[in-house]
Amino acid sequence: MLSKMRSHFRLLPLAAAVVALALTAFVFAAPAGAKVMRIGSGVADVGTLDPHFATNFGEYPIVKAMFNGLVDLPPGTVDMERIQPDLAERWEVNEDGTVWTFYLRQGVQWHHGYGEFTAEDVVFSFNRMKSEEVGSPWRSEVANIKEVRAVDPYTVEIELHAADPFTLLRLVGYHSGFIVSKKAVEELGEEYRFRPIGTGPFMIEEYNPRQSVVLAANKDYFKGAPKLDGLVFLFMPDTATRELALRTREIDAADGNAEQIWVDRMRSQGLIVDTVGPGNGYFLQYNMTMPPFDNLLVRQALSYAINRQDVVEFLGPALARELKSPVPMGYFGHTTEGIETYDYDPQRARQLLAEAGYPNGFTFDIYMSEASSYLPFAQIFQAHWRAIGVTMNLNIVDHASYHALVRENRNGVILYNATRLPIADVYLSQFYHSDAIVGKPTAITNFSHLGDVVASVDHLIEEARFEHNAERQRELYAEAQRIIMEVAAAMPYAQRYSTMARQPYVDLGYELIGPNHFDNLFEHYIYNENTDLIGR
Amino acid sequence: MAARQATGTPAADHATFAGGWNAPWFRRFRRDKMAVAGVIVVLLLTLMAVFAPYLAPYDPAEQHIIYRLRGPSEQFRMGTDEFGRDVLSRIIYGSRASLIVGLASVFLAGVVGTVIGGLSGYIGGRFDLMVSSVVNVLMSFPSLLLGLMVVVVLGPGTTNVIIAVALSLLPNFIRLARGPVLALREREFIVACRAMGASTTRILFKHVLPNILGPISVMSTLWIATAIRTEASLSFLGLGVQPPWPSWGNMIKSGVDNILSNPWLAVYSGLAITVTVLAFNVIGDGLRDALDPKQKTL
Repeated sequence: MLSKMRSHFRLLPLAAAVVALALTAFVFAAPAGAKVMRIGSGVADVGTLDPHFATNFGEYPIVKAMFNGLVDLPPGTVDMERIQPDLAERWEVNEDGTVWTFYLRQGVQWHHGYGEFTAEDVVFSFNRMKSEEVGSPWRSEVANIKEVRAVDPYTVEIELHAADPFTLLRLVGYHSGFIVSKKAVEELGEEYRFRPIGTGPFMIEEYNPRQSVVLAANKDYFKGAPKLDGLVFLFMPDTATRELALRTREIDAADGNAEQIWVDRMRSQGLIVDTVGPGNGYFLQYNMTMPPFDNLLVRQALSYAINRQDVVEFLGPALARELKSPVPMGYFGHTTEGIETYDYDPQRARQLLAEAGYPNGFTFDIYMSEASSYLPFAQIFQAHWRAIGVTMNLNIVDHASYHALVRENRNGVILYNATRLPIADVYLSQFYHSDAIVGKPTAITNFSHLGDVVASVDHLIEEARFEHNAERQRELYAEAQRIIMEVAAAMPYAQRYSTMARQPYVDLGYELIGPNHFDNLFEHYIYNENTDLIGR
Repeated sequence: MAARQATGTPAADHATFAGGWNAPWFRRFRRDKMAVAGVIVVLLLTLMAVFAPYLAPYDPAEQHIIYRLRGPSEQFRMGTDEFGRDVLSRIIYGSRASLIVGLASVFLAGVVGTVIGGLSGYIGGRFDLMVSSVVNVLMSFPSLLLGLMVVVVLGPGTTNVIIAVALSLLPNFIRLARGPVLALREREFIVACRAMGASTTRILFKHVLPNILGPISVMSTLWIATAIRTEASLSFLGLGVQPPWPSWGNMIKSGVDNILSNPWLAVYSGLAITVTVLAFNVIGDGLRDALDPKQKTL
């Protein structure tokens, strides 16, 4: 009862957001003359700004503006060949590829007077990331790190369990690569969540729950003082609100709506819409421990009943494609060859449902996020499943609550969208390795319980991780994808490019390489020291 | 003048419904064109809600995604929403949610509120003080906020919304019933009844209730409009009728989300609410004028 009540209390933000939104959009005004960039964020609030925990598309761009990794990708691309120095100036690797030595930049200062950045902070960051107790969701990405040693204040050695062809990519300032300040984390404790201390071009100024996050320029940034005086992220979960705010120039940039109609309309208004890849994988997982989803026939029936074409139509054919494998297209290791893809076949679905013992279908309830990147798809599947007699009731909660609830094993069907480092390993490790099963101390985002029940792909993921023969590596990944689809642990349905809109006067400071094979990694813009507002 | 006619209870302060089709109040009501129009609209709405399956051209939850967000056309008379669902069919089915919640919650609040308020006024003393204090506290919340709090605790869904809206209206009914009873309690005919040994139940039902029914009916009609608005607001916030089923409130929400692609969505569902709320309001006004000619508004 208590937990039921608590979950409903989570609905309150939904209501509060509407009111707050109306206020924030109009109340905030930058001090005269200040070059502050205002960004309409598509979430109602953030749950944390600790880079080791920031998971959703609202949190990530804020964190990225405040933190650095040892190395980084060139802005605007995901070119694994051109990984560049960031907090580390240069690096060396030993013969067998298991020990990496990083030489750190000297004189880098932490925000708000937390002292100089040193090797201690690097050691602390990776230990924190690896710690089960701390429980970062990106733990699996650093699982191969055996030890991180501070040789001297400006030299760090990272020893790996086994050589990994993607080591540098895993260390870029993305999910697992962010370096935090030891002193700040220890001193601030719980407070660190909303008082993150980084080294990046912008630093935390204010966090106003359900309203905004205000960042100020870090004038001492080691790559030079930012051109902007600050960034303000305004929470505007409502698409129309963001659009109107863009039109009236109340905001300079905003999270987009990945819909064709929206893109066309924004462009016709003279706004710039960028599409960034490699694309968000859209998929659902069945909780195979929860009846009736523990029944293979039921899962297969539900998968066959899904018409991917409807989703692509909803998103816009220019922005989305059908996804038929657990690893998104363009990610190293993706394949659909020899894989059961569950192409739309309602007849078959009904037949399987009858075989499973549900000739008249069944009814189930799930929690669903109100976010426009989740709810519409749940509603589309609701209609698809209704056509075969299955009733799915939606209990709609705010986005942060949805994330929390699915990690508590509360849903039979879990919708998830994710952009990750574009290699099969990351996707498979986070969503299909048994260590990643929700509820475990090592939990990440395996909601299906694959690995503990039905089948396991653990050995394939692990073997592939250290395989240097790319051909063999691809074979192992293909086998993992085949098994996942065969047991119907998941139903991948779409891949979509993210969109962002900005005013024509917003200069990103770099060129955004258009979607292609290995393109922009980040779901959303990274506002760096070169970002500017020309003549606003 | 006419209000003091014999109605079985001596010297009532408020006119009642007694008297049949030719009662003066009803004649006055019939002459009020606006009120009659309101009645007709409500009757049509009721028919629409009852016969929705026969009137709606499509299943309200059926998606035609390739036709999403279209304006009105031959095929879809009021256009389509973001999933390509027929807006006309959804408006028709949506009337069910509005009317059911509007009527059920007002009925619930009316019955419970009248009983509590009546008893509170009649018994008086500490019980009255307690009830009044609670009512005062509840009245200090706007009814939408009160409804919101209740739904957040109970969870979304039609039944819970009915309870929430009823609770949000309850303080109004309690106060409404309590006032006149408080005055009636000291009136000669009640005192006489008590002196003659009539039981409390008999006094309440035979003498008190008929006297307060008039104002309660008037206010009920007006509050149906409030209830419908509250339901729409809750659905707008995602707390009322859950997808895929339509309610005018959640249709407006989807209309606002897509207002720049297909403004018709918000326009039609907004109009549906406006017309319904207006209809109940004019009926309420008409009833008030008819039942209480002394306070006739201009």
